[in-house]
Amino acid sequence: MDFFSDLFSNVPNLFGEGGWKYVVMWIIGGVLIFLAIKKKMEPTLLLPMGFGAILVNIPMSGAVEADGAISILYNAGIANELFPLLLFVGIGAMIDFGPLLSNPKLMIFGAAAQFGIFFTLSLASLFGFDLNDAASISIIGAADGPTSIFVANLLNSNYKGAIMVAAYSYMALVPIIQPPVIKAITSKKERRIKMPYKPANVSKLTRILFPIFITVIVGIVSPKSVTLVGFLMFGNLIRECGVLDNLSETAQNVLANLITIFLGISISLNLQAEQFIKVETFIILGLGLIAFIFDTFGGVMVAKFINLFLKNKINPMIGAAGISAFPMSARVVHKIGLEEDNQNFLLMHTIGVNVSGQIASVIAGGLILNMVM
Amino acid sequence: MNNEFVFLSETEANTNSETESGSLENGSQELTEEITDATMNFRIDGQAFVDSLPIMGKGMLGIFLVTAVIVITVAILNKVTGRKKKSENNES
Repeated sequence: MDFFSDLFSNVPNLFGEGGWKYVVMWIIGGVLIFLAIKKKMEPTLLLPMGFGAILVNIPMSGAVEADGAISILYNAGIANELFPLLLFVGIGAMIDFGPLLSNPKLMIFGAAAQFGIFFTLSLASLFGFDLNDAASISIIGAADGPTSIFVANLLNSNYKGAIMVAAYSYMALVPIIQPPVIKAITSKKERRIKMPYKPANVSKLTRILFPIFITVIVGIVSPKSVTLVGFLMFGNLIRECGVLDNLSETAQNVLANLITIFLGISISLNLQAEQFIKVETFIILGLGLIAFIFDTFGGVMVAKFINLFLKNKINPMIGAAGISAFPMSARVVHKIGLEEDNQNFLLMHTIGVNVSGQIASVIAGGLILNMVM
Repeated sequence: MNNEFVFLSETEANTNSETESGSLENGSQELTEEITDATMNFRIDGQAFVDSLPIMGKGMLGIFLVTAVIVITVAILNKVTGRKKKSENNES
């Protein structure tokens, strides 16, 4: 009998005070895994996070002890922002800034589509979150996992787990969140506006100098975000220089995949039941959704405003592609364009706006850090 | 009567429900503690909202300004490197 009582000595912890929270987190972990596998929503991150949520919420879990594997990984790569920065090298290597460089004015929409971040910051303040937490919550609207993790960590937010789950979940939900918002604030006539694509020649020198110039410009404005923008642009420079194909390949594939595995599972340290099962978590999830909605709103409305002064109108939907969820947002807007007119090919414009959103979200993160820290 | 609801963490809610118990009638004390524990109330902090508006304004202005600098920089880059390419073509 002693043997059996020793074997199952941890079971009473499930039925003790707060034990139900473990079970809730198992269910949440299961839902994340389901969304990753069955719905194919950001599986690279939702699956490790989901499994990690189960791992860290087993009572007396060794994974979350001081010398537990997840704790070690967290301290090695999340607490010091290393994993998101390394992931940014891979992301930078994946991005082709050509469509943006051939029409740099598209960056305006990338900037406009960060409106949701600042709007949500004010809203979170209204609901009683202190400034650091409000800023960390608002950065969900950056639609960029590494930026969200970087800023939330630097600001030492109390809600990192909820913020990270919200950031990655909503990125995957862009095809569901954006279309209703776009259709609500644009007319059919506006959605049918055609935009011919005339690619301008972008020299190799421009492609090489661009990441260097961006790093310097953004770094001077926001020194705290130098590593964030610098690592993104470093990855892009590896891609564009033309002499480091092997490194570019490694950054895009091996590095990005390795870091994604470690990042996904180590984030789950913030998904422990005591930290996650709070009313604030649901409020944060709601605020994150608002951030995405107002990002879309901001991008489209600026495009509509610019149209007031243009003879050759732009399709205002492309403003919505300024949200940093690359390349999903670009494809969503392109798809809506095709639904309205199957000869309306907006993809190259939306890709240009989408990649500009990647830069703008990093700028927004840096400005938030500047103003709040 | 104070109409302001207070948004609290679970720990703070338990503490506050104990400190406020002296001001409540006996019959409703336990019920209030249960409600405080079960439902979290919001603090609508208008002052914090107003204080955050300059951050919203400066943030959006800052993004557009930095973007404008980048757009101008890229336009100059395209023009300069494009001219060099034209002169190379003419020479060849």
